[in-house]
Amino acid sequence: MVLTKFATQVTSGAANGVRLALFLVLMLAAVGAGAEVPPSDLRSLDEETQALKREIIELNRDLFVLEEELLFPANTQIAVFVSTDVGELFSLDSVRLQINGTVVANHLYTPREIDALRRGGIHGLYIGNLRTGEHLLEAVFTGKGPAGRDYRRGAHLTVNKGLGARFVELRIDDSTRKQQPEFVIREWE
Amino acid sequence: MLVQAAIRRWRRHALQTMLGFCLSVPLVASGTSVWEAPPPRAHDVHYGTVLYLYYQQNHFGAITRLKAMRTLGRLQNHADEAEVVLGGLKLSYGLDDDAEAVFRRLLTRDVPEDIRNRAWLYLARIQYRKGQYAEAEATLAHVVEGESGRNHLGERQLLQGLIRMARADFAGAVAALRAWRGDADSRPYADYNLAVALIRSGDTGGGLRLLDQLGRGASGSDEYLALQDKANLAAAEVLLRTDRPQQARQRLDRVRLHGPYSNQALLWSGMTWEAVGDHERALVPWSTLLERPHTDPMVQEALLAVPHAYDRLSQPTRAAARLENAISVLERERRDLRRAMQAMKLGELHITGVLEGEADNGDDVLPLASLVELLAGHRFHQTFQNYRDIRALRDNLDYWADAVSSFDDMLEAQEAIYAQRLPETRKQLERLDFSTGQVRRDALKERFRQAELGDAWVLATSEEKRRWHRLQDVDQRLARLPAEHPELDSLRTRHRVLSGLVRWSVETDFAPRLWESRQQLRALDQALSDQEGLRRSLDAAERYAYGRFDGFAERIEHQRDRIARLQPRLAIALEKHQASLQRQALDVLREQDSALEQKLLRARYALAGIHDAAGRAPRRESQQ
Repeated sequence: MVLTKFATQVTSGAANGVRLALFLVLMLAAVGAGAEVPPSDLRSLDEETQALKREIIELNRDLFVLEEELLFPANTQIAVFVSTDVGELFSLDSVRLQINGTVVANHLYTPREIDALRRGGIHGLYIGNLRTGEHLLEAVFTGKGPAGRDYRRGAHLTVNKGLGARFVELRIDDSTRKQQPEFVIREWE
Repeated sequence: MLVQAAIRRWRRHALQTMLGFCLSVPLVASGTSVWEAPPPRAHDVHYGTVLYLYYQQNHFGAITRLKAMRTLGRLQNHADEAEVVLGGLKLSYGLDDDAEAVFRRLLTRDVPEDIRNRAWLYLARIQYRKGQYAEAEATLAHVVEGESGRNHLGERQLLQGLIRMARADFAGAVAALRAWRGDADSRPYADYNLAVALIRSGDTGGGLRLLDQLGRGASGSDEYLALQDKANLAAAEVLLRTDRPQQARQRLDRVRLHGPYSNQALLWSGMTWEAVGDHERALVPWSTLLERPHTDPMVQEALLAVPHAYDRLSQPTRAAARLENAISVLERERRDLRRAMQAMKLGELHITGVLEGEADNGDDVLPLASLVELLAGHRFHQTFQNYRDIRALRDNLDYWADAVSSFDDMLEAQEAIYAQRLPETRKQLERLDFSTGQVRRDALKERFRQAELGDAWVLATSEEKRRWHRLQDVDQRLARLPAEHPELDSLRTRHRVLSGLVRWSVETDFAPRLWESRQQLRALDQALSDQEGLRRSLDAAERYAYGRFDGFAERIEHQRDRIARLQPRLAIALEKHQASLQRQALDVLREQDSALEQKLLRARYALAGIHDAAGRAPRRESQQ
């Protein structure tokens, strides 16, 4: 209908304003075009997807627990985590972890991961098995320190591994008093 | 007069349609910051690992980890907090019904107020998404504005504004959004919506002033700059609608030349010149637009707008040439479009492959620009997101299928090591003489019993006993000596003294010896008990280990079955989603095809009109 009017106006040599107005209507009609799919089809597809997601989440949970119990039994398990606070005095690039002199983990952080750490997330850096007894954990942190200079610092902890899983946190704190970052290793009960 | 009225009527109609383009859609930030106050920082590492995935928008990973940690009993410090995070994750992952159930569970009085507030807010969001606006507003009324509600003020305000706008209560939306109480980062989004609400409620001046503030400035994130562009575009719409093309142009000039709204701005910028009759200047933005890919509907409109301007500039030859060019371009676009549609119908081209960069779209077979509207649409977006989720789930199951095989190997290896070590350990244990130890313990116990009855000689040392036996022997020999033996008395005296000494020693040391014996007996009992415990623990460990191996084997087998059952279902779901996306894309392409056909018709009519006018002009000249 709009097209007919446009054609009529054009062929009859009507005023510029009319042409402009018609032109706008058609232009915007084209821009506003959208697809319609019967919602019921999508609804059933969505419900099916939700059911699948639900089942696979449950399956993943069970597999996660199975994997941990099988590969890292509680009496030998050791897990090491990395956390930071706001990170104004130190911008983390990577962490290297050694246990008894052997490098067991080396992680280079992406900006997305750094953001997650700064907002309160904690990174599970390593999970493995250790015999009972004393073990030396050493962590080397690299990144940018105060004034954007390259910064590399280490920290260590002797863990007395008994029965039961051990959880160790490598924590980077901003020491406002010293205006330096602090690197702490501590065990979680 | 009639022509002027027609102009006004059509312009009003046109600009009302434009208003629908920019001002009908409220704006929400793409990130989560506007919607969600962040969960409190973790008090323990396991909850922190969930947040680590949550903040990276890895919803599936975070849900799985949270549920696993809860199963392993590691989230006791964050039970309610974890529940509200789980609900939010489920909502982000498209599990709306599950999320709603989670939030409803948190609405009881024993849940801390802050968490309850967040649950109410999430619930209101779900209802808003479902179009249950009255329910959503009623739900929002439950959010307590106390100390705990402070973190959620902005979120609540924004949601209330959106709900009211959806209900066409623009005055109510203005009341909700005015006096922003949320954080500064979210303010521009609230202000944009407030400006829309002001305009839609009749306060055009107020809305334009706010859009003007939003549209100024030259720095910020990409998201913020896009918001500025949108604010300027929206203001231009309003100004065009109210016959203020010069002011509209000022706003359009602020829109970035290479931002997401630049094509729209260039097209409208030409229109503002056109509206004041300056066709020559209108050609500037439109010519810029024509240098961009012709698949974009805005560029296609410029193809028609340029000859229109030349026509108005009384350059019919140029107008005709431009129209011929437009017809040629539009025909080519339509041909390409139809070729793409045909390829899609035959299954040679998949929209999913093109969107994910997997299909060869080397010759721009599929005009992606024409799908922009489709991609932005909620339905397509949801279907495409589900499609991507299902693909990720398929990869996830493939990973676990491999991993479960390695679990088998691992279990087998553990079993083999155990089977090798157990007999050796058992042999070592059996080498220990349990029976001798028990006999010795029984003998000691008997001696101890006698000693407790007062028999000090039971605890005498062997030396004392030997001396005592010798003294008894001497006594017998003395008894055999004749009474007249000269040393008999002396010998008997010495014997008595020596016997007294031995007896004195035995009796005076009795108490400490009894105590010592008690300790020895206890130690022996402990050693025997340890030995027995060791054997029992070895028996138990053996039983447990084999039970553990059997348990693991069963669990692995069970999970393997679950994976095998789910894999074909995922494959079918993936196909269904692909088909649905293909259908939706084809629908849009069909509409695009129809739009191109209309543009072609317009171009041909316009060209015919120019030729007709040109044909008549000489005749008129000749008639004169």
